[in-house]
Amino acid sequence: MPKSKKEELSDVLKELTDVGDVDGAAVITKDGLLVSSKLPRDVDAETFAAMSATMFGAAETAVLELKKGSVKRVISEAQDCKLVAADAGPSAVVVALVRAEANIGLVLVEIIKAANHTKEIMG
Amino acid sequence: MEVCKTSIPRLDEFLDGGLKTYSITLFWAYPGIENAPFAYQILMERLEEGDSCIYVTESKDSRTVEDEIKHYGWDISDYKENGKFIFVDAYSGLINAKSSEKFFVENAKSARSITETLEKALENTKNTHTLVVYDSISTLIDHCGENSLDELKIWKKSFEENNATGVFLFTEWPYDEKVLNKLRLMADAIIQLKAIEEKVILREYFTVSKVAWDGKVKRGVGVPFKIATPGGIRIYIPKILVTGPFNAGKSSFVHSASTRAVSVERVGTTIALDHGHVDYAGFSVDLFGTPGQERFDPILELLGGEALGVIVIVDSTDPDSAIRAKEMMEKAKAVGLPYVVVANKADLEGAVEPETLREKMELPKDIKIIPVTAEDLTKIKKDEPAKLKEGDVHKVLDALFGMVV
Repeated sequence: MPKSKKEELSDVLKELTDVGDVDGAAVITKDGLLVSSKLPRDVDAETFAAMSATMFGAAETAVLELKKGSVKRVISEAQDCKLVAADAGPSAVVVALVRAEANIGLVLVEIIKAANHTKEIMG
Repeated sequence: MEVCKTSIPRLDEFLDGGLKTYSITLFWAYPGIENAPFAYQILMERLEEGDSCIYVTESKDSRTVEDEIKHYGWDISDYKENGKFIFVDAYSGLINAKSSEKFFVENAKSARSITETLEKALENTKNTHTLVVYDSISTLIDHCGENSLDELKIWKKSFEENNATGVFLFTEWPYDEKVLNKLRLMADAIIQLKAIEEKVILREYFTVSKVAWDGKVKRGVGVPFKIATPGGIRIYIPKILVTGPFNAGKSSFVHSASTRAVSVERVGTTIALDHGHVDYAGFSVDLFGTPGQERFDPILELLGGEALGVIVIVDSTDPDSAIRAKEMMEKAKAVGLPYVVVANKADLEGAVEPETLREKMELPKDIKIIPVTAEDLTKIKKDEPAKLKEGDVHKVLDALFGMVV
């Protein structure tokens, strides 16, 4: 029985959150809706989805004003985490919650992999 | 009373119509604030109306003045050629340079010498009304001493005899208080230019601090301004919030009202904000449009911060959604700010009357509700901002800007 999109996305997120240093991840639509989530229990996933979309979309517009091409990733560095939002196709974004002390280069490889998978699934 | 209009937004109203002929109006700036652009805008207006202009330049080279005027988008070359615009060069003498102007003050450190050259220039233009710009009284005091202010009495008489009016520039460097008081008494009108730092935004204001036409002394209100290059003096409102329920037409309004607008939107809905710049009726305003969908409510407070007024957009065909507008104003912390309500889509089927919306939203009688419609219903595309009728949009801007300033 072929897997549903939902199950496929869930698998992608599981693979991503299995990576050490990735504490949570989600797939959101570009207009702020939550598609699939593997976020810590105490996070309000819907709010997180909407605000991540706002953050990503606003970054895209800011960069567009500079005429420097399209946005690949938005990384927000906070005291206790790094939030990475990666473009996953025309309608989706993969958002990952990364430990503050992580080696971002290595984790990014995994996040990009997940984003590319998501792009194939979501179309 | 004979007046000359200045064309500076709001200023002519505060001055009872404009500058009174033969008077001296002082543009009194605090250090760091440019007052010359006010003189440039007024002299361009007067030249276009057929007056002549004499520019006494004591603080800068005449070529610098011409370049600065060009910087604001204006050009005096034609007027210079046909003698309508004359420089009185009181600057070259100070630095021992050769002057390129016909009217040149040989002994630039003597106030009397300046008076004589000015009077010679006035002989040339007395057939028309002349605007005399003095740039600047600060340099007069610096180079010719405090007593040079006495010359102003002589100039005033000259103005009466030669059909001239004075616009003088002054910057309040640390002069003696009695010098400042003397100057305050001698000027017929004083327009102060100062800056105030309000929370985060630094704004420059002009205030009419003295208007003594016909012996009546009045004080005016402060008007925040910005100088557009090109363009000139504009009344500046840094942020007006445009909010309302989902799909009411906020993005459409921002795009229709602005000369240039940008939206962060996906799949036909705003997910961050709309940002547009309005240059209308002498106003320079930035509009900030919010998303309407509830999941974006967390950013309303951020978008509403430091807003000076609100335009609330409501869909006339969906009166039940109007109550959501109140909730949004509260979340944006915009309650208490001046606001107007736009009854959008007023011509579509199912649209209710503005008064019905007033009831639904429980709005006080004095709040304006302005019906707005699209310019061309056939050109409306799904998921794109619609172009709203210019006249309707202007009515909304007139109503709100009048409340804010």
